[in-house]
Amino acid sequence: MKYQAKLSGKKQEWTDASPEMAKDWNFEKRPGGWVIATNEKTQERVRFYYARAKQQFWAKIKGQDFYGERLPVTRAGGGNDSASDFTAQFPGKVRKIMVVDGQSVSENTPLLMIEAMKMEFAIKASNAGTVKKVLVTEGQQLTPGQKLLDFDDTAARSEKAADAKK
Amino acid sequence: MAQSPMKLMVANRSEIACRIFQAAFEMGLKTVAIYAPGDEGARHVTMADEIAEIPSYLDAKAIVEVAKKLKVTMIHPGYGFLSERSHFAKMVEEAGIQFLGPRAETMDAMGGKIAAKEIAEKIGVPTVPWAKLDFAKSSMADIEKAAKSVGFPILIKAHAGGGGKGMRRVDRIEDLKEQAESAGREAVNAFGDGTLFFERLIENPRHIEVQVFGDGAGHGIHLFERECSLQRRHQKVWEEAPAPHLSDVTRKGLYESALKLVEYTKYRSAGTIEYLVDSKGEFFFIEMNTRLQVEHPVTEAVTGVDLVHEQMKLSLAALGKGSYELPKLDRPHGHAIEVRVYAEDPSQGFIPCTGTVNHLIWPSGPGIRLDRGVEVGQVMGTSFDSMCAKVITSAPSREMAVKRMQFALQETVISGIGTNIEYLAEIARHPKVIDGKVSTHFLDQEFGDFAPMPDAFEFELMSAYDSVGGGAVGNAASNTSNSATPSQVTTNLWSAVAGVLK
Repeated sequence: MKYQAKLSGKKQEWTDASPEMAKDWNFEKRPGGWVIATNEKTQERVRFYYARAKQQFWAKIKGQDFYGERLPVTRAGGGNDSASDFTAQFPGKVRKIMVVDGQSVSENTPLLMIEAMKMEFAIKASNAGTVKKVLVTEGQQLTPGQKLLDFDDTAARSEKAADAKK
Repeated sequence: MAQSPMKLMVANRSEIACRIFQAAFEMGLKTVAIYAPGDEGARHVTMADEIAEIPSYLDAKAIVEVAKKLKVTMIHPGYGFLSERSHFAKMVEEAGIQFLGPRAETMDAMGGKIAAKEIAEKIGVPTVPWAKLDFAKSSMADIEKAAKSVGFPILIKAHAGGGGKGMRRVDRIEDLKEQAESAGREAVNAFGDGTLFFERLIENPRHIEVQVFGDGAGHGIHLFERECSLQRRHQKVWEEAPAPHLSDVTRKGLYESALKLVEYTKYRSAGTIEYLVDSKGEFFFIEMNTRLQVEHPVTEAVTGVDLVHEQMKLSLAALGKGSYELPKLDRPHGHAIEVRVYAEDPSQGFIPCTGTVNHLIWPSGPGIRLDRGVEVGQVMGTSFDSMCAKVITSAPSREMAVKRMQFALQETVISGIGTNIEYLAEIARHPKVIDGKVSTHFLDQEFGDFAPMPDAFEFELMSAYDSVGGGAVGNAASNTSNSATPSQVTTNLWSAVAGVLK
């Protein structure tokens, strides 16, 4: 099973894990918002903060502050839920579309240029793959969460996963 | 007319407007807040007796018109926006309203870097030494004389230069001949102009500034110095008072030259004289900020002087309400540090983070001051500055002020938008910062590739919490038990993340 998270601007792909920990820890949400986690076996006590709204989360634990995104789950063995998640993160505008439907691209190929906050950003292919469908047009205003294109990189991801196993 | 209330407008927004409204309340002044379209939800709008919409915080004419209509007696410009625009100060005073800042003429004289440098040189305040000479017409003796007057290390630059052409660093007089000749040849070849500039190269400079306050009649005081070397592209991130590791000689020199400038310009109200200080403690005037600064709270913490009260008292005296006397200070007491909390992502080129603030937990306790502009439910967009708050800690020693900052930052939670809190917290934990040994290059050198990542345990714990349904915004469920079911776990990213890191 594969998952993705985005923290500090970096996408991280993770393989499955066990939820063992949830068995050992008790969580108490305190007035004010802090959570106190207590380990029943060791009596260890940890204070943290964790809030999630849809995919986005904000957390604070052991004095460290984090925020990021949980990206859609990738099904085991690949599938249509692409790990390469091309959704608009900010309100912005499509400046330029550099690919056409059905085009095969290599990793890091710029696909779209987006203008947001007076800056231009290139949306690049995170893996080699095929542009199945461009879902936006040049000049279009984007709202956060809006999908930009359908992209199939199943092959590249299975290859990477196979490499990782070795 | 005799007892019409004194009414203060803050021609600014967010945390600084809130801070000034507090002072206005304490001084018994009525208050007016202004807001630009899109900023109706800002915190400062809730704090004033009267409010008015203006087209933009930069629209001097509209702001003065509203002030006249509402019979405002004083305007505080805050920082940024119109605070250092002399035409605004002039319009305000011409409307018969007190401007809580220097006179327009002072801003004109001290606002421009070149003009201010000329004034500084005229009255014997050191500036970064430089000399200009025409290579083709200069003898080696002329070149040596120019170099000696500037002092080593020297940066030789081509007058017509650019792209590093003709630029040379010279550390010793022995190397001067060769380097100057080569720079001169290169300048002639590249630009057809052999005019060279010699400028003192200030290595690992520290940015140290002196807070001043003048009564507008030629009398002034300094309120000691602040160290502001922790900057990112000239944006200050961490400021403290007093500056650590500074010799008494340098300190005395900084104070004396700052006072010279205040007295020469008959400076009125609060201002700041900025210097670069080199590793030997030699200092050079760079510019004057003719306004109250973002980092003024650290000075307030070590002097006990409320700078905004002083500005108000000075203006009240000018309006015939009492007399004004400059505060008398002996020495700074203790140590104070300020950090600026921004809604921006330091791991992604400091891109502004937008969204709606959904939860705030603020630090409190001994020696912690919080100046803030945000509230829960407030939308952080990209139209306005992304500063959320300033966290200020003060303690009897620098060591404790740093510890207190570490504590304050670990107590601070801003949820719903991304912030630079972890960046600030890591700065507060850095050994060089703890030692107080930093230069203006520090943040770019040490924090250029900042990308915080939770460790395995942290991921695992948060993931376990999420898997039992905790953390959902708007979910009031408390005392959540550990009743994870298999179906919940499979949709839970965090379990997955924790697994890999193990």
